[in-house]
Amino acid sequence: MERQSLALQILNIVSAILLAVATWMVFFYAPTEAVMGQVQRIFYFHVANAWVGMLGFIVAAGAGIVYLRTHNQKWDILEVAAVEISLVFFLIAIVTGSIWAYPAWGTWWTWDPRLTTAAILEMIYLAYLLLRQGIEDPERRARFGAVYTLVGGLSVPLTFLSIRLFRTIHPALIGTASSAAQGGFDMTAPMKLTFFFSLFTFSLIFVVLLWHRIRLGRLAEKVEQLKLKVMQ
Amino acid sequence: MTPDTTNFMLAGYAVIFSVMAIYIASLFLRWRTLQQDLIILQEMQENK
Repeated sequence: MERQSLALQILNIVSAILLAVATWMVFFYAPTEAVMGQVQRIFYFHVANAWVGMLGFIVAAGAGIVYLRTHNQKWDILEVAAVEISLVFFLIAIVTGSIWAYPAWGTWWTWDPRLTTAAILEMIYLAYLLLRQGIEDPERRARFGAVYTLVGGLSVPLTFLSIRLFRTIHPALIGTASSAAQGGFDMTAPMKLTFFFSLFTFSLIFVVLLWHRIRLGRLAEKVEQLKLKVMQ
Repeated sequence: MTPDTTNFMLAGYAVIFSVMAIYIASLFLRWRTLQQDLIILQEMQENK
């Protein structure tokens, strides 16, 4: 059985500790926001999850480009790993956003530009995983995946910029929010520290999970190759 | 007056930690299944 490297073992522990500290900061260090109350605390991990989700989709697009140039299967493994992890984090961002929206906007969901582009983004990559499963030839599958993530990656900046380009009720953290935005707030110094610490923590968790998922991908490839050998 | 939105906050964090735990468990289970498959295939190859 392939053991985890020492670096990965250390990263596992560090990311678990950082997650515990970030959680403590969210609940006990950051002050309660006066207008929305406790639900505003969702914001710290909601944004961190959305960030990691988008980061992974961009990483996947990058891996797709490198695969198309090199045709090395390891880039395909990285691409799938990044998409799968990002789907999980982006789903968390969508669901927590909806939970926050009910007390803030009075509705669980609205077809606002940000929410709509986020939902489309999630579905684009869900379809990616489903469609990949229908292709048996590993090379064709990888080529399809590379082109798909490259095209799909275009929806990431669109989703990110949607709150700046369109009239939307979603608040903006960076830059100017739309005049229709509801639920925005000014961050105090402890809020900012908690927010950036959460962003860093989830970025590290993304790296750790990516490493684990790549190991899983390599093992799956090994099993697939051995299966073909045995069947011959 | 600040509204009491504690339940929404708790629901949000329950979702975050539950989904993350499920995903980590799925990684572990898939790894274990593949390891078992690998052992079986290696035995089959040796017996060939």
